[in-house]
Amino acid sequence: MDQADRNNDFNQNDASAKGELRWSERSPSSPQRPKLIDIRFGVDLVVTRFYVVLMVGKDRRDQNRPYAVKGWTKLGNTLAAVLLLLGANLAISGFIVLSLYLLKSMLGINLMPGHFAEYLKPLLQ
Amino acid sequence: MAFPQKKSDSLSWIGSGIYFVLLWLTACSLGMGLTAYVVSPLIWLGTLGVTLLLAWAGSAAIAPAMVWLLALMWIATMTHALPQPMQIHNVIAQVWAASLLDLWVRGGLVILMLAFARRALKPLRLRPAAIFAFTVGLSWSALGTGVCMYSLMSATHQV
Repeated sequence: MDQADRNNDFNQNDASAKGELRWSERSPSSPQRPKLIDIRFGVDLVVTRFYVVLMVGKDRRDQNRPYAVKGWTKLGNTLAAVLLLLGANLAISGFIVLSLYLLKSMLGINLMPGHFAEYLKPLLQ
Repeated sequence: MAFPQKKSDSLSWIGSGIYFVLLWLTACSLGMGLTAYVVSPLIWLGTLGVTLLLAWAGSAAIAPAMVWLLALMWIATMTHALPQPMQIHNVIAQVWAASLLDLWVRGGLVILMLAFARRALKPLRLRPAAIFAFTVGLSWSALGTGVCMYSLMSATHQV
Protein backbone atom coordinates (compact mmCIF):
# COMPACT_ATOMS: atom_id res chain seq x y z
CA MET A 1 0.00 0.00 0.00
CA ASP A 2 1.55 3.34 -0.98
CA GLN A 3 1.36 6.64 0.86
CA ALA A 4 -1.54 7.98 -1.24
CA ASP A 5 -3.63 4.85 -0.49
CA ARG A 6 -2.85 5.10 3.21
CA ASN A 7 -3.86 8.75 3.28
CA ASN A 8 -7.05 7.97 1.38
CA ASP A 9 -7.93 5.10 3.77
CA PHE A 10 -7.23 7.30 6.75
CA ASN A 11 -9.36 10.13 5.41
CA GLN A 12 -12.27 7.81 4.57
CA ASN A 13 -12.18 5.98 7.92
CA ASP A 14 -11.91 9.22 9.81
CA ALA A 15 -14.79 10.80 7.91
CA SER A 16 -16.96 7.64 8.05
CA ALA A 17 -16.46 7.48 11.82
CA LYS A 18 -17.82 10.99 12.08
CA GLY A 19 -20.66 10.06 9.69
CA GLU A 20 -19.66 12.84 7.37
CA LEU A 21 -18.62 11.11 4.16
CA ARG A 22 -21.30 11.03 1.48
CA TRP A 23 -21.23 9.61 -2.08
CA SER A 24 -21.47 12.99 -3.67
CA GLU A 25 -18.69 14.40 -1.50
CA ARG A 26 -16.08 11.80 -2.50
CA SER A 27 -13.16 13.06 -4.43
CA PRO A 28 -13.46 12.03 -8.09
CA SER A 29 -9.72 11.33 -8.08
CA SER A 30 -9.94 8.66 -5.30
CA PRO A 31 -8.25 5.46 -6.55
CA GLN A 32 -10.46 2.51 -7.62
CA ARG A 33 -9.28 -0.77 -6.11
CA PRO A 34 -9.44 -3.91 -8.30
CA LYS A 35 -12.42 -6.12 -7.45
CA LEU A 36 -12.35 -9.88 -6.77
CA ILE A 37 -14.85 -10.34 -9.62
CA ASP A 38 -15.35 -7.64 -12.23
CA ILE A 39 -17.44 -8.73 -15.22
CA ARG A 40 -18.90 -6.14 -17.59
CA PHE A 41 -20.62 -6.78 -20.91
CA GLY A 42 -23.30 -5.32 -23.15
CA VAL A 43 -26.49 -7.00 -24.37
CA ASP A 44 -27.93 -5.73 -27.64
CA LEU A 45 -31.65 -6.44 -28.14
CA VAL A 46 -32.10 -4.49 -31.41
CA VAL A 47 -34.64 -2.06 -29.94
CA THR A 48 -32.46 -1.24 -26.96
CA ARG A 49 -29.06 -1.97 -25.48
CA PHE A 50 -28.32 -2.91 -21.88
CA TYR A 51 -25.13 -3.27 -19.93
CA VAL A 52 -24.57 -5.90 -17.28
CA VAL A 53 -22.06 -5.40 -14.47
CA LEU A 54 -21.22 -8.02 -11.84
CA MET A 55 -18.78 -7.00 -9.14
CA VAL A 56 -17.69 -8.69 -5.96
CA GLY A 57 -15.25 -7.11 -3.53
CA LYS A 58 -14.64 -5.99 0.02
CA ASP A 59 -17.40 -3.67 1.13
CA ARG A 60 -15.82 -0.27 1.63
CA ARG A 61 -18.76 1.62 0.14
CA ASP A 62 -20.60 4.42 1.76
CA GLN A 63 -24.19 3.39 2.51
CA ASN A 64 -25.67 6.76 1.56
CA ARG A 65 -26.83 7.26 -2.02
CA PRO A 66 -26.72 10.68 -3.67
CA TYR A 67 -30.46 10.26 -4.40
CA ALA A 68 -33.26 8.38 -2.68
CA VAL A 69 -34.87 5.38 -4.47
CA LYS A 70 -38.40 4.75 -3.27
CA GLY A 71 -41.99 4.15 -4.38
CA TRP A 72 -42.59 2.96 -7.96
CA THR A 73 -38.91 3.25 -8.88
CA LYS A 74 -37.92 0.84 -6.11
CA LEU A 75 -40.71 -1.58 -7.10
CA GLY A 76 -39.68 -1.37 -10.77
CA ASN A 77 -36.03 -1.95 -9.89
CA THR A 78 -36.91 -5.01 -7.80
CA LEU A 79 -39.21 -6.43 -10.49
CA ALA A 80 -36.60 -5.92 -13.24
CA ALA A 81 -33.88 -7.53 -11.12
CA VAL A 82 -36.10 -10.54 -10.31
CA LEU A 83 -37.09 -11.00 -13.99
CA LEU A 84 -33.47 -10.68 -15.13
CA LEU A 85 -32.24 -13.19 -12.55
CA LEU A 86 -35.07 -15.63 -13.39
CA GLY A 87 -34.36 -15.30 -17.13
CA ALA A 88 -30.63 -15.87 -16.66
CA ASN A 89 -31.35 -18.78 -14.31
CA LEU A 90 -33.74 -20.37 -16.83
CA ALA A 91 -31.24 -20.02 -19.70
CA ILE A 92 -28.34 -21.46 -17.68
CA SER A 93 -30.48 -24.31 -16.29
CA GLY A 94 -31.80 -25.07 -19.79
CA PHE A 95 -28.23 -25.19 -21.10
CA ILE A 96 -26.99 -27.51 -18.33
CA VAL A 97 -29.99 -29.89 -18.44
CA LEU A 98 -29.98 -30.22 -22.24
CA SER A 99 -26.20 -30.63 -22.59
CA LEU A 100 -26.10 -33.27 -19.82
CA TYR A 101 -29.08 -35.11 -21.36
CA LEU A 102 -27.52 -35.17 -24.85
CA LEU A 103 -24.11 -36.22 -23.45
CA LYS A 104 -25.76 -39.02 -21.47
CA SER A 105 -27.65 -40.18 -24.57
CA MET A 106 -24.48 -40.00 -26.67
CA LEU A 107 -22.66 -42.23 -24.18
CA GLY A 108 -25.50 -44.77 -24.38
CA ILE A 109 -26.60 -44.38 -20.74
CA ASN A 110 -30.31 -45.13 -20.50
CA LEU A 111 -31.78 -44.08 -17.16
CA MET A 112 -35.46 -44.33 -18.12
CA PRO A 113 -37.25 -46.15 -20.96
CA GLY A 114 -38.52 -43.97 -23.83
CA HIS A 115 -37.67 -40.43 -24.89
CA PHE A 116 -37.20 -37.36 -22.66
CA ALA A 117 -40.04 -35.49 -24.42
CA GLU A 118 -42.55 -38.20 -23.50
CA TYR A 119 -42.06 -37.36 -19.81
CA LEU A 120 -42.45 -33.60 -20.37
CA LYS A 121 -45.58 -33.82 -22.54
CA PRO A 122 -48.02 -34.43 -19.66
CA LEU A 123 -46.52 -31.48 -17.78
CA LEU A 124 -46.99 -29.16 -20.76
CA GLN A 125 -50.58 -30.23 -21.45
CA MET B 1 -8.55 0.35 -46.49
CA ALA B 2 -4.82 0.19 -45.69
CA PHE B 3 -2.26 -2.12 -47.22
CA PRO B 4 0.34 -3.86 -45.05
CA GLN B 5 3.60 -1.95 -44.71
CA LYS B 6 5.40 -3.70 -41.83
CA LYS B 7 6.04 -7.38 -41.11
CA SER B 8 3.64 -7.29 -38.13
CA ASP B 9 0.92 -5.86 -40.41
CA SER B 10 1.40 -8.73 -42.86
CA LEU B 11 1.17 -11.24 -40.00
CA SER B 12 -2.09 -9.73 -38.76
CA TRP B 13 -3.43 -9.83 -42.34
CA ILE B 14 -2.56 -13.54 -42.54
CA GLY B 15 -4.18 -14.13 -39.14
CA SER B 16 -7.35 -12.35 -40.25
CA GLY B 17 -7.38 -14.36 -43.48
CA ILE B 18 -7.13 -17.67 -41.58
CA TYR B 19 -9.85 -16.49 -39.15
CA PHE B 20 -12.28 -15.68 -41.97
CA VAL B 21 -11.55 -18.90 -43.87
CA LEU B 22 -12.32 -20.85 -40.67
CA LEU B 23 -15.46 -18.77 -40.09
CA TRP B 24 -16.63 -19.41 -43.65
CA LEU B 25 -16.03 -23.17 -43.38
CA THR B 26 -17.81 -23.41 -40.00
CA ALA B 27 -20.78 -21.39 -41.26
CA CYS B 28 -20.86 -23.57 -44.40
CA SER B 29 -21.01 -26.74 -42.28
CA LEU B 30 -23.78 -25.12 -40.18
CA GLY B 31 -25.74 -24.44 -43.39
CA MET B 32 -25.33 -28.11 -44.33
CA GLY B 33 -26.48 -29.17 -40.86
CA LEU B 34 -29.59 -26.99 -40.93
CA THR B 35 -30.48 -28.31 -44.39
CA ALA B 36 -30.01 -31.89 -43.19
CA TYR B 37 -32.49 -31.26 -40.37
CA VAL B 38 -34.97 -29.71 -42.88
CA VAL B 39 -35.63 -26.73 -40.59
CA SER B 40 -38.68 -24.56 -41.24
CA PRO B 41 -38.42 -21.21 -43.13
CA LEU B 42 -39.22 -19.45 -39.84
CA ILE B 43 -36.10 -20.92 -38.22
CA TRP B 44 -34.05 -19.95 -41.29
CA LEU B 45 -35.38 -16.38 -41.03
CA GLY B 46 -34.54 -16.26 -37.31
CA THR B 47 -31.03 -17.59 -37.95
CA LEU B 48 -30.37 -15.03 -40.66
CA GLY B 49 -31.70 -12.33 -38.30
CA VAL B 50 -29.29 -13.51 -35.60
CA THR B 51 -26.36 -13.27 -38.05
CA LEU B 52 -27.46 -9.70 -38.86
CA LEU B 53 -27.56 -8.86 -35.15
CA LEU B 54 -24.11 -10.40 -34.59
CA ALA B 55 -22.64 -8.49 -37.52
CA TRP B 56 -24.19 -5.24 -36.26
CA ALA B 57 -23.63 -5.47 -32.50
CA GLY B 58 -20.61 -7.80 -32.25
CA SER B 59 -19.97 -9.32 -28.84
CA ALA B 60 -23.01 -7.53 -27.35
CA ALA B 61 -25.20 -9.92 -29.40
CA ILE B 62 -23.67 -13.13 -27.99
CA ALA B 63 -26.29 -13.48 -25.21
CA PRO B 64 -29.42 -13.21 -27.45
CA ALA B 65 -27.78 -15.40 -30.13
CA MET B 66 -26.93 -18.10 -27.59
CA VAL B 67 -30.50 -17.99 -26.24
CA TRP B 68 -31.80 -18.46 -29.82
CA LEU B 69 -29.48 -21.45 -30.33
CA LEU B 70 -30.51 -22.95 -26.98
CA ALA B 71 -34.21 -22.57 -27.91
CA LEU B 72 -33.56 -24.32 -31.26
CA MET B 73 -31.77 -27.17 -29.53
CA TRP B 74 -34.64 -27.59 -27.08
CA ILE B 75 -37.17 -27.65 -29.96
CA ALA B 76 -35.03 -30.25 -31.80
CA THR B 77 -34.77 -32.40 -28.66
CA MET B 78 -38.46 -32.20 -27.80
CA THR B 79 -39.55 -33.03 -31.35
CA HIS B 80 -36.93 -35.80 -31.63
CA ALA B 81 -35.54 -34.14 -34.78
CA LEU B 82 -33.30 -36.26 -37.00
CA PRO B 83 -31.11 -35.39 -39.98
CA GLN B 84 -32.83 -36.17 -43.33
CA PRO B 85 -31.04 -39.43 -44.28
CA MET B 86 -31.84 -41.07 -40.93
CA GLN B 87 -35.11 -42.85 -40.24
CA ILE B 88 -36.71 -42.54 -36.82
CA HIS B 89 -37.00 -46.30 -36.27
CA ASN B 90 -33.55 -47.48 -37.31
CA VAL B 91 -31.37 -44.82 -35.67
CA ILE B 92 -29.80 -45.45 -32.29
CA ALA B 93 -29.98 -42.83 -29.51
CA GLN B 94 -26.20 -42.32 -29.47
CA VAL B 95 -26.13 -41.20 -33.10
CA TRP B 96 -29.17 -38.95 -32.61
CA ALA B 97 -27.63 -37.24 -29.55
CA ALA B 98 -24.20 -36.94 -31.17
CA SER B 99 -25.66 -35.32 -34.30
CA LEU B 100 -27.60 -32.78 -32.19
CA LEU B 101 -24.54 -31.98 -30.07
CA ASP B 102 -22.49 -31.59 -33.25
CA LEU B 103 -25.02 -29.07 -34.61
CA TRP B 104 -25.00 -27.22 -31.27
CA VAL B 105 -21.20 -26.94 -31.25
CA ARG B 106 -21.18 -25.73 -34.88
CA GLY B 107 -23.82 -23.09 -34.08
CA GLY B 108 -21.93 -21.93 -30.98
CA LEU B 109 -18.67 -21.64 -32.92
CA VAL B 110 -20.31 -19.58 -35.68
CA ILE B 111 -21.88 -17.25 -33.08
CA LEU B 112 -18.56 -16.66 -31.28
CA MET B 113 -16.56 -16.25 -34.47
CA LEU B 114 -19.08 -13.80 -35.94
CA ALA B 115 -19.21 -11.86 -32.67
CA PHE B 116 -15.44 -11.33 -32.65
CA ALA B 117 -15.11 -10.78 -36.41
CA ARG B 118 -14.61 -7.03 -35.83
CA ARG B 119 -11.36 -7.66 -33.97
CA ALA B 120 -10.07 -9.79 -36.84
CA LEU B 121 -11.01 -7.03 -39.29
CA LYS B 122 -9.03 -4.38 -37.37
CA PRO B 123 -5.91 -4.56 -39.59
CA LEU B 124 -8.07 -3.62 -42.62
CA ARG B 125 -9.23 -0.40 -40.88
CA LEU B 126 -12.67 -0.56 -42.46
CA ARG B 127 -15.63 1.69 -41.66
CA PRO B 128 -18.41 0.16 -39.46
CA ALA B 129 -20.81 -0.09 -42.44
CA ALA B 130 -18.18 -1.95 -44.48
CA ILE B 131 -17.47 -4.32 -41.56
CA PHE B 132 -21.22 -5.04 -41.28
CA ALA B 133 -21.57 -5.68 -45.02
CA PHE B 134 -18.46 -7.89 -45.13
CA THR B 135 -19.54 -9.99 -42.12
CA VAL B 136 -23.11 -10.43 -43.36
CA GLY B 137 -21.93 -11.25 -46.90
CA LEU B 138 -19.43 -13.80 -45.62
CA SER B 139 -21.83 -15.59 -43.27
CA TRP B 140 -24.78 -15.61 -45.68
CA SER B 141 -22.64 -16.82 -48.58
CA ALA B 142 -21.25 -19.62 -46.39
CA LEU B 143 -24.73 -20.67 -45.20
CA GLY B 144 -26.02 -20.58 -48.80
CA THR B 145 -23.08 -22.64 -50.06
CA GLY B 146 -23.76 -25.17 -47.29
CA VAL B 147 -27.39 -25.47 -48.37
CA CYS B 148 -26.40 -25.95 -52.04
CA MET B 149 -23.67 -28.48 -51.19
CA TYR B 150 -25.99 -30.57 -49.03
CA SER B 151 -28.75 -30.49 -51.66
CA LEU B 152 -26.28 -31.57 -54.38
CA MET B 153 -24.86 -34.33 -52.18
CA SER B 154 -28.28 -35.73 -51.27
CA ALA B 155 -29.42 -35.55 -54.94
CA THR B 156 -26.29 -37.47 -56.03
CA HIS B 157 -26.88 -40.16 -53.39
CA GLN B 158 -30.51 -40.61 -54.44
CA VAL B 159 -29.46 -41.14 -58.07
